[in-house]
Amino acid sequence: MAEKLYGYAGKLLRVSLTDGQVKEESLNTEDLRKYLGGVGYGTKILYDEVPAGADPLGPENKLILTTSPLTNNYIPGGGSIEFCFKSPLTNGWGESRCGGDYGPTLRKAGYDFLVVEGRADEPVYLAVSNDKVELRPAAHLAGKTVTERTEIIKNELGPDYLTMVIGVGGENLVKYAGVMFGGRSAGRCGAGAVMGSKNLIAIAVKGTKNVEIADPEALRSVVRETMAIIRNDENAQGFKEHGTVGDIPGVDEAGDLPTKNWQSNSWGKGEQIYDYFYNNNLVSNTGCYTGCPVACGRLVDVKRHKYKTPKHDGAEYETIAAFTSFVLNENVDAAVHCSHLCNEYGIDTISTGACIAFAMECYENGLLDESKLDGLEINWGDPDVVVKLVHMIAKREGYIGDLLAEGVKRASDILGEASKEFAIHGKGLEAPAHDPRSGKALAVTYGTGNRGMCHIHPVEAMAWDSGKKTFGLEKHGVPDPETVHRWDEEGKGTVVKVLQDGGVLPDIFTTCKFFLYVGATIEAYCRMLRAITGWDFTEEELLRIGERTINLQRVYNFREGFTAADDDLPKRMKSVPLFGDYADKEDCAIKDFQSMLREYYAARGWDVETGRPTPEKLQELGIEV
Amino acid sequence: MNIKVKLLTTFKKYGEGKISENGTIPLPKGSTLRDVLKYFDIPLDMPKVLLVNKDDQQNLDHEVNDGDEVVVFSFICGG
Repeated sequence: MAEKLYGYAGKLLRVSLTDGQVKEESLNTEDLRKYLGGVGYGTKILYDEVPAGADPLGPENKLILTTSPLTNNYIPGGGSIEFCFKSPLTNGWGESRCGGDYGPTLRKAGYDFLVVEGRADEPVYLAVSNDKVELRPAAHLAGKTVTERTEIIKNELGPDYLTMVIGVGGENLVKYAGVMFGGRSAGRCGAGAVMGSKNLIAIAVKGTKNVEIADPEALRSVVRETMAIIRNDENAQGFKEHGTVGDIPGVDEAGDLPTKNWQSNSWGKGEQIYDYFYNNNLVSNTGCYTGCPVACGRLVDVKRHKYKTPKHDGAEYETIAAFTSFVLNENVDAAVHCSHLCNEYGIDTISTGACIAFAMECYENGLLDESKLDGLEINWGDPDVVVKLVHMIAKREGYIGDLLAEGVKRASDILGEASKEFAIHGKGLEAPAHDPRSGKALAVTYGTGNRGMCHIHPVEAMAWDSGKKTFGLEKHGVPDPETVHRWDEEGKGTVVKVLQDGGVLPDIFTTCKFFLYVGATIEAYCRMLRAITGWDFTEEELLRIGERTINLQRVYNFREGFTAADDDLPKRMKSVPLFGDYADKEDCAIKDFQSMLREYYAARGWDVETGRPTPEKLQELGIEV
Repeated sequence: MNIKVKLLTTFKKYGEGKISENGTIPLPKGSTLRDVLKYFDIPLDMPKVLLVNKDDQQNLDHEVNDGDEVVVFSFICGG
């Protein structure tokens, strides 16, 4: 008799859009123990099921929605869903996280994982409810905003369904279109374009089932203990009052605010930008999922004048940086307006802002003339131009809208060699709003991040090196950050290995990463997992699951054609800033990145020259390729 | 001597009414970063990042000099 499975709903739902077939599959217990859930189990499915070289926008690609036994509203940070797929932006490993009640609700509907494959002939949306699965026509949703579609679906299905939906950006296959849950987004790497390519407009879920817990009393105890720590945590109070956007003044001072398409790492206007935002745009804080004790989300608006914008959930740090410092725009109302537009079109705010910054620099250098710009003069800092380009990108309007909808890597391939130095990306993913010249561990995580240069996986390096946080990883070999200078290079590759193995766990748990900064620890999550599943997890085993997942993602990327050369950083990102507070700080420049990478490869047990996981390492981790 | 001080976001409240219009505070010669924090009644055990003239400086016994710029903030870790 099979082992009783606690903590999981126990089923994977597979939906083929090509022929409308729906299948329920049981889970592979051995794989669950090795990959747990979230992006761990998702990597295993993607590696096993999507053939090498598959077109990310073809029917062979799959969209894999994942949860874990920790995906519950009562778990600290437990309201998340992770999407896994081959990225149409990078042609490599793709993943996107979205906060909210959606992940817990998928499990209440009876499924830990949902795999969507094939392609529908006509636009459809999927409705999943307590084992009932239905594909419904969706052609009538074309061209509508994300809010409108969400409302229409709710009216058709009933108010208790939760819906994740693509917008016009996803329909138009903007390579960095996201999947929206209200004002929240599975934003990076183009999951929305994958859905659009499949003619899948939305996935709605509802459910009332409960998952059986192995030891409810032990779980209650560790959750209660962890919640008490979080409620008294200084950082949690900071998140609540200021949200992520409250970081802008500090990162500007620290040389961590990419400015003018990465020409500098500081702007000198961070405090001014944040003060305006705090006094004019911020309405209140909000939580992305029911029961969140931190509630770092921002409800924001623009009350008057030409950028008037209704109250919405948005304006995270990354978004405001992308639409201010990236493009030298000092008009915060316009930045908030862009946040709303991206939400309603369903396109990633970071990539959108980065593409506009790239275009502005190309224009300044004569690589884009007005014949390609529909008469627009796309000068640095012009808020009207920024807003106009957001519309054009989502609609693929004109030459410039269509070009920038491809992302900076492809756009620079089209514009030619001279534009390459302005295309700031890693593996094809546009760089987010943190700068490795503020702390060099971030350089290693930026270079080696499996989904490219993202804002989630590198955060642990930045938080350790510049932010002086350890999240309980000292006992696993992470040195006290107060003994390390942020501009040192030696030793950073080695520490990043451990930081990544621990830092990927929230994405395997599908928990909010911020909870590691406000008092929840890997030890606490380990105790929760033991109580939920009845399995005798240790912290070491969880870090091993993190390591295994990172290795399998790496193997996946190498199978798709990536090499160690794709770990390199853009030259500009390694250089002394061209202006700003750090223009005379030679030490902030990254002197020998290849040595940092070699040190990292060695710490990982990979071939130090090729950066490829060795057969011995894969065997040690139990990865079969 | 005068030390230029910037207290950002979560630390801003500690500076209310204590920083002159030109952004400085007066401290006796030989003062340390610990003295800067004490001047503002900032709890020493609060998680924080300290920069002196843009340089990483977590040692509270670090001596500050006339004209130095000290920045105090907390990484909220905006992602």
